Amino acid sequence: MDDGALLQDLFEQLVGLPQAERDRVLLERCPSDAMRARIRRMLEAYDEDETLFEEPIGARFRELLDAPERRVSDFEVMEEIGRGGMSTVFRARDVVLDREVALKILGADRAMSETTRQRFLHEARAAAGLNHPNIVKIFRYGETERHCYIAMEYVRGGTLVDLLSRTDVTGVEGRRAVVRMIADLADALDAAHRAGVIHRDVKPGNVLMGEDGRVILADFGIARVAHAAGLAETLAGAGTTPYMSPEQIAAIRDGIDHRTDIFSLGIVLYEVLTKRRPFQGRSHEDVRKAISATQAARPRSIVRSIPRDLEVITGKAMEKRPADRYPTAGHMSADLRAWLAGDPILARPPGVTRRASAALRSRRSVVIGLGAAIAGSAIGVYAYGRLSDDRPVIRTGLLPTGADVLLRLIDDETRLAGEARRLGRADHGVFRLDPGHYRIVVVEAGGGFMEYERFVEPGSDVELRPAGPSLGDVTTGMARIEGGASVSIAADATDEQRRYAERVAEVGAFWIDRHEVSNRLYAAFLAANAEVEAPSHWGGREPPEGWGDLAVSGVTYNEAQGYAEWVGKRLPSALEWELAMRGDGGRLWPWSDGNEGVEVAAIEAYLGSMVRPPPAASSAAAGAPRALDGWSPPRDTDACRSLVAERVRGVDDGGGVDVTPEGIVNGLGNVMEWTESLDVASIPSRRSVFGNHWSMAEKVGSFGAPVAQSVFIRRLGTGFRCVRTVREGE
Amino acid sequence: MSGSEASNEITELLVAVADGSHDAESALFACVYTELHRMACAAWRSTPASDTLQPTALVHEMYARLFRDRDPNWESRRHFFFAASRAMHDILVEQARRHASLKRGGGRRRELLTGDERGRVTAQADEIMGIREAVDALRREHEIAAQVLMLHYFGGLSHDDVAELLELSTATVRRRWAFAKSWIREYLESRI
Repeated sequence: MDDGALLQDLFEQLVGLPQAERDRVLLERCPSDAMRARIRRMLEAYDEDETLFEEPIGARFRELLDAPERRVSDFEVMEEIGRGGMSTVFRARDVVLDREVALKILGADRAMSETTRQRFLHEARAAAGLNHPNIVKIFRYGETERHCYIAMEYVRGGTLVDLLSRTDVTGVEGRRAVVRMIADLADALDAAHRAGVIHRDVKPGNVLMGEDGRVILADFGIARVAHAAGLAETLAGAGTTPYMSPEQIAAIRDGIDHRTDIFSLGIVLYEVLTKRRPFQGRSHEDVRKAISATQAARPRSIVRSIPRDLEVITGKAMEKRPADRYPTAGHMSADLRAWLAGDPILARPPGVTRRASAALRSRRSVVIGLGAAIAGSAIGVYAYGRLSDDRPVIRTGLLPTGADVLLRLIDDETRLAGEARRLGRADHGVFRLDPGHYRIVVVEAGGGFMEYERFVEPGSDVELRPAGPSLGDVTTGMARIEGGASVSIAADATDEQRRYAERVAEVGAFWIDRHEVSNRLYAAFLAANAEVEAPSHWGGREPPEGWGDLAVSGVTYNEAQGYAEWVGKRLPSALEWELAMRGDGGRLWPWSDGNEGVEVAAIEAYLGSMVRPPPAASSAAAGAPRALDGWSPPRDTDACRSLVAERVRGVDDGGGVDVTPEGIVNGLGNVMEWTESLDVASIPSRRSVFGNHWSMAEKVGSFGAPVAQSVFIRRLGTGFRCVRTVREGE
Repeated sequence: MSGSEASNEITELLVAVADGSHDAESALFACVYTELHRMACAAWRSTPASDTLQPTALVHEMYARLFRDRDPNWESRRHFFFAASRAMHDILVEQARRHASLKRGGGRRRELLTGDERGRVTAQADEIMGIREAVDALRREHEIAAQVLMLHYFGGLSHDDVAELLELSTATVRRRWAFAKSWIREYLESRI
C-alpha cells in the first residue's frame, strides 16, 4: 500500500473511533511521524466542524458575484474589469443613455498631479478623434471633483491575453485566426498613425476581444499626438517593458515615431505564434538589454510548423532599426493578408551576409575569425535553406496515373475557393502543402474530374481516394446553376437581396443534385465501403423496409463527404447552396419569386407538416402545430425509427411547394443539409448546415439562414445533397 | 445561443461523449460552462439580495431543464454531473480570481467599497482560490475522493446520488467525503 492509500485507509478507519483507540491504532499502524501528525490534524479538522463544507457555498456565491454600486457623473459603477498603471476600469451603466460602458477612472482621494490629469485627458482626446472598427470607441470624457473619467465602448470578450491562454494557435485554423487579428490591429494602427496618433503601448493586454470576434485596440494610455511635442517629452520611455521598441528603451526624443508601434506589434505577432515572448530576462533591465542588443530566436526554431513567410513578416516588423521595418502598419497588414490569401509576401528575409554579421555581433559568437564567419553563414543557410520539409502531406498514389493535381485555397471568410495552382501529376505520390483549407482538384487526361475539400493541419497526412465505379453520367439528376455573376437584382430589391448578390458574385458555375441523397443511394455507398458506419437508427446496414426513397439523415460531415467523393461529386459550399436555392432574384423561399399559382393553403399545409409535434407528444396536442421548444430527439433506436418513418419525406416529395423554379426539391424543408463551409467563427470542426428539418418548432427559417453543426455529431434532422463544379467547355 | 438550443446541443453532446468522442467531451464542458454561467448571471440579477443564491441549485435546475420529460441513462447523468460540477467550480474560481485582485489594488478601490465589505469579499475569494488548489492536489493523490468532493460540494448531489454515479456504496461515499474534506482542511491549514 502506498502512502496515499495508507493515509486514506487509516483516516477512514480512525474517524469512527474514540480518541484513545485512535492513538493506539495510529501508533501501531502508521509508519512515520509525519503521517501520524498529518492524520491527527485531519481528524482534528473533522471533529472541530462536522458541518465543514456542508452548506457554505451559497452565501458566498452572491458576495462574489455582487458588486457595489456607486455613481461617477452620469455613470453607475459596477464591477472592476481592469487596472492600468494610473487608472482603474469598471463596467458601468450610463444612466442617461441607458447603455453599458467601460468607465476608466483616474485618481482617488489623493489629489492627482496636474501632469497626470493632463495626460489622462490628453489620451481621451487623442482616442476620441479616431473612428475605426478595431479601435475602442470613446463616448465621453470629463472630470468630476474627485475623478477624471473616460466612458468608452464596453467590450465583453476579455483581452488577447485571455484568448491566447485558451486558444491553440499551433493548429492551422487557430493560426489563421490570430494572423487575421494581427492584420486587423495593423489596420487600426495605420488609421491611428494617419491621424497623427501613436499608441506606444501595443501589447496583448491592450487588445480587447469583441463578442463578434473583432479585435479592438484599447488604452491609448500614453499615446502621443505627434504634433503636441511639449507633453510628449515627458512620455519618452513610457511603455510596457517586454513590448518596447529599442528606440523607446533608448528614449530617443525625436527618434520615436509610428514605427515603434510596428515593432511592438511584431512582438505580439511573435508571441501569438510561438506562445513565448521573444525577449526575456529576470528583471526589466535584463529585458531592456535583450531588446536593445540581442536577436530573438527564430519563431520556427520554437514551433516548427510556423510557415516561413510568417517568420519573415515577424522578423521584418521586429527589425532593430526603424528604417529596416515596414514603413507603415498598412504595409505590415498587407503582407499578413497576402499570407492569408496564399499570395507571395513583399518582405524578404535578411540576406545571409547580414545574418552572419548579426551573429558575429551577438554575445554568443565568442570565436573570432574564420571559424565565426563559417558559423555565421551556416546560420544563414539553416534559416532559409530547405534542409527539411516537415509540412503536411497529401498522398495521391491511389488516384489514376497521369492525372493533374491542382490546389485551390479556400478563404474561410469569403467562403470562396481561390485560383487553381498546379501541384503536379498524381504519379508523384506525395505532395507537401502549407497547412490550410483547400479544395484539391484532380483532372484526368480522359476527362475524369474529382474535387476534395480538406482542412490540412500541421502534421496531417491525407490520402486521397478515387471515386467508386462509374454510375454513368455524374450530372444526371443535377441542375446546372450558372455562377453568381448572373444574379440580377431588381431595382426595388431589399438590402438582404443586395447583400446576397454581392456575396455570391464570384461563385462559378456548378451542378447541384435536384434531390437530397436518398437512403437507397447511401446504402449503395455503405455496401461498397465496409468501414463506414451506417446511420444508427437504421438498425443495420440496409435502410428499413420502405425507406429507400426517404432522404438519408443521421450522417456525420465526413460520412456525407465520403459519399459525395465516392460518386464523383463534393459537398456544396455555403455560397453555392444559397445560390442554387435563392436563384437569380435572391428569393428567400422557394415560391416567393413570382412563382404564382402556389396556393397559400398548400404552403401552410407544408409548413404545418413540418411543425407537427413528434409522435411521442402528439396525444396532448392532437395534430395542432405547437412549439417544440425544449424537445430533443429520442435516444433509443426504436423511437428514432418511428420518428423518421413518420416525418421524413421522400426526396422527390416537396409537398407541391418546396420546389424552386429551377426544379430543386426540398431545399427549404425535410432535412437540413451539410455544406463544406466553416461557420462564422471559422472553427473547422463546425460546418454550416442549411434549410430546416421536420422538428424545427414553429420558426421555419428561410434559405439564407444557416446554422453551425459539429462535424462529429449525427442529427436525425441533417442530411445532404452534392454538387460538382462545371468544367470548362461543359 | 438560446437556452433551448444550448439544451439540445448539450443532450446531443452527451450522446457523443457516451460514444467515446474526446472532442465531444471538451465541447460538452464548454457548453455546460457557458450555459451555467449564463444562468448564474441571470439568477444573480433576478434574485432579491436577501435570498441565498445556491450555485448547486443552478446545477439541478439545469439538469431538470435538460431532461424535462425523460430520465437519462446512467452514462449521460454521470457525464452531465461531472461536467457541471467542474464548470461550477471553475465559475466560482473565476469570480474569486476577479475579486482577489481587490486585495492587490491597495487604496484606490477603497472609495468604492467599505473596509468591511472589502475584507469579507477578499477572505472569501481567497478561500475559493485555496480550495481550487487543494482540490487539484487531492485529485492527484486520491481521485475518487476528489470526485466525491466535486460532485457533492460543487454539483450539489446527495451522497446517495454520488454513490450511484460512482458505483460505490453510500457508506463508502460518506467515508470518502469525510476523508476529502478533512484532507482539504488539513492541506489549507498547513499552508497558511
